[in-house]
Amino acid sequence: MRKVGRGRRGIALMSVLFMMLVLMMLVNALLILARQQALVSRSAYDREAALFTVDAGVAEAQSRLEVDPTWSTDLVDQSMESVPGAFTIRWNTSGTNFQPWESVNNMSSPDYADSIRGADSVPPRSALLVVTARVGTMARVGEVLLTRYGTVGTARPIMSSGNLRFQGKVRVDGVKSLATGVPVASGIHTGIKSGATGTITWTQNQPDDEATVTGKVSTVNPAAGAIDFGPDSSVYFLGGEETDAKPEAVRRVDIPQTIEANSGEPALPPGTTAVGPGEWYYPGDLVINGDLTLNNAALYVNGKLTVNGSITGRGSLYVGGDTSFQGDSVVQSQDALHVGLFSHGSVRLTGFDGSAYLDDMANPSSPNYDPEMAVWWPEAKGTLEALQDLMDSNPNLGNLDAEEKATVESMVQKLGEETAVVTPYGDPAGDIDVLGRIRDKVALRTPGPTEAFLVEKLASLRSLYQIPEDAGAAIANFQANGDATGLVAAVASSGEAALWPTATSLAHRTEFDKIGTSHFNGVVYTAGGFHAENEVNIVGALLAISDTAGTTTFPDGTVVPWGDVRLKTGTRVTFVEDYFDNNALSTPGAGYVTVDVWLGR
Amino acid sequence: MRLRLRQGVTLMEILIAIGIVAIAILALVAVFISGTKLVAQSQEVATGTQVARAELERIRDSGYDRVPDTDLTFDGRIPDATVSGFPPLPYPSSPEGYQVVVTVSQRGYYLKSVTVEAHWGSDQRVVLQTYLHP
Repeated sequence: MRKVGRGRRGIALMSVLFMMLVLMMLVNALLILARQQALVSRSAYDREAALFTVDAGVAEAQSRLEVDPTWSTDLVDQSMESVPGAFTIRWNTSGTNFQPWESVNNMSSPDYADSIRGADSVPPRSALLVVTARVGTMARVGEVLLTRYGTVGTARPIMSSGNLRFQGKVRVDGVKSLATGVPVASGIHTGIKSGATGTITWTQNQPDDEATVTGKVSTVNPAAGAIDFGPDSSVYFLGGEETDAKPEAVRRVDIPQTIEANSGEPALPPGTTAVGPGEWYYPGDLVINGDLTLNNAALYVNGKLTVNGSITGRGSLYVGGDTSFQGDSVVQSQDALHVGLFSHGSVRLTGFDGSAYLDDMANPSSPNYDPEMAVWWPEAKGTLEALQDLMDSNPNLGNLDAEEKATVESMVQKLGEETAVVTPYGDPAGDIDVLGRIRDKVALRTPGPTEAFLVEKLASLRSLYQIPEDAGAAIANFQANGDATGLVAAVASSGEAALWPTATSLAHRTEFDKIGTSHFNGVVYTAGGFHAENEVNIVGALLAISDTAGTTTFPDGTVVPWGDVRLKTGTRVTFVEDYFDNNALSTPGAGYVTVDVWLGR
Repeated sequence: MRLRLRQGVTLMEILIAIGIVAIAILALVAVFISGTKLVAQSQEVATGTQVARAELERIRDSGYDRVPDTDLTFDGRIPDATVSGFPPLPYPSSPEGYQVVVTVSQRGYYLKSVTVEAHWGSDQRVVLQTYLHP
C-alpha cells in the first residue's frame, strides 16, 4: 500500500501539470496565430494604403507637371491627410549618376533623355516618374512614364458651352489627316452640362450663302427649335441633328494658374518678332505689330494679346486676358498642329484689316508715309464705299438708269484695271486703276506674309473691277469657271440682272476693311467666347468652354458672350483627326499629362 | 493515523490540483477568448480594408468628372443622399454590416482627394485615401 500510495501520490499533480502544459501550448499556438493574423491584416491594410498613396503621388505629379512642365522640385515625405503614410518624389537634375529612386523630367525637350533605365530611355515630352510610398511598415514603389499632350482632347471641330451662331457661308468638315485628305464626318456640339440651353443657329446673309456640316449637329437643349438653320432646307446640309443630346465633358484648362506657374520664365523682350526656343513670360498686355514667329516656344502672356499681323511656326500661346487677332494667316504652321492658343478671356479673330495697313502708308506722320498713297488710297476707299452703296440701294439691276450705269462704269474704271492700260499707268493723274497703283506700292515694301497677302488681294480686287473688252465673254467666263474678272462692269453694262446680286455679294466680300482671310492652323481654347468674321479658315479645332456667365466687349464694340462661338461672313472649319491622335504633334508648353505606361508598381 | 494522514494529504493534493487547474483553465480561457477576439478583429480589419478598397476603386473607375468639385462628405451610416450618382452604388448599403463614409476635397489643379472610411461595430474603422487626376 505504501509503495502504491507513494507511487500514486504525484500522479494527480503530474497529470495536472501535463494537462496544463498541453493547454498552454495550444493556447500559445492560438495566440501566435492570432497575432500573425493581426499582422497579416495590418500588412494587407498597409499594402493597400501604400498602393493608393503611390497613386496619389502620381496624380500629384501629373497635376504639377500640367501647370509647369519644367517642375523638378523634390517632394519628400508628403503626408496623406487621412492615412498614416507619405510619398516621396526625387528628381535627378544632373543628367548623370542616376539612382533607382530618382525621376527624370524630359517634358520640355524634343529629344530623348537618359535615366536609370539606360540611355535614351525617356522619350521626348515625357517624364520617368518614381514615387516611393510608405505606410506603416510597408513601402511601395511606383514607376510610370508620363507623357504630355499639348492639345486638348476633342472629337469635334467646334465645341461650346453656350450658343453657336453662324452667319453667311459656312462649311464644317474634317479629314483623317492633311497628308491623305481622306474625309471624315465632323460635327459640332454645344452643351457640357445637363440642363444647358445652348442653341445652334445659322443665318443666311446673301442669297448664295450655303451651310454645310458634314457631321452631326447636336445640343443638350431639348427644345424643338434649339437647332435652327432656317426654313429652306435646300440651302444647307447637316450630317444629322440631335436635340436633348448627352452632355459632352470637356476638360478645362486653368490658364491663369498655368501662367502664374510660369511667371519665372525669362521675360520676352519688347519688340520681339522671333520667339524661342523655350518658354517665355510677358507680364502685361502684349501688342504685336507685324509678324511673329514661334520657334518651338511657349509664350505666357499675363494680360491681353493683340496681334496685327501673322504668327507662324510652332508654339503655344497662353493668354490671361482677351485675345485679338487681326490679320491674314493669323496662326499657322507648315505641316501639322504645332500651335495652340489658350485664352482665359474671349478670342476675336478678324480678317486682315487692309484699311489700317494702308491708312498707315497714307499718314504723313508715319515712317511708312508715301505721298502718292495719300492721294490714291482715299480715292480707292471712297470709290469702293460709294459703289457698294449704289449697288446696295439698287438690288434690282433694272432700277439703274443710264446715268447710274455710267457712274458704275466710271467707278469701276477708277478702281480697276483697264484692258488697254499699259504699264506703269495709263493715267498718271491717278484717275484710273488706283488699286493697281496701290498694289505696286505695297509690293515695294519689305516682303513678308502680310505684304504678299495684301498684294495678292489687291490684284484680285483689281481684276473684279476690270472693265472687260467683251462683257458677254466675261459673264460666260464667270458662269463657266467662277472667274469674276470684270464681272461688276460686265453685269452693269450688259443688263444681266440675274447676276447683279452675285456681283453685289462679291463686292461686299471685298470691303476694304475686311479684305483678309483669317487662317488658323491649330487648336483654340477659350474660357470666354469666340468671335470670328471675314473669311475665316480654321484647320484644327475650336473650343469655347466657360463655367460662368458673362460677356466681353471688344474695343470696336463687338460683344461676345462667354461660352459662345460666333462665326460671321464666310467660315470654314476643317477638323483633322490626326491632330488629336498623334502625340508627336503636341505643342510646346504646358498641356495634359497622362500616364502612358506603368513600368513597376 | 499514518493512513488517515496520507489519505488527507491526497485529498488536499486533489483540492489544490483542482484549484490550480481551475485558475489555470480560467486564465487559459481568458487568453483563448482574447486570441479568438484578435482573430475576429483581424478578419474584420481585412474585410474592412477590402470594403474600403472596393469603394475607392469604384470611385476611381467611375471617372474624375463624377467626383464632386466641392468639398463634401457622404456618410453612409446616416445615410447621406448621393449627388448626381456619387458615391457610386452600392453606397449607402455595404456588405456584411460595414458602412462607408466618403470624403472628397479639391487639392489643386485637376487634383481631388478621395477618402473612404469603412466602419463596423461600435467604433471600428479603416481608412484609405488617394488623389485623383483625369
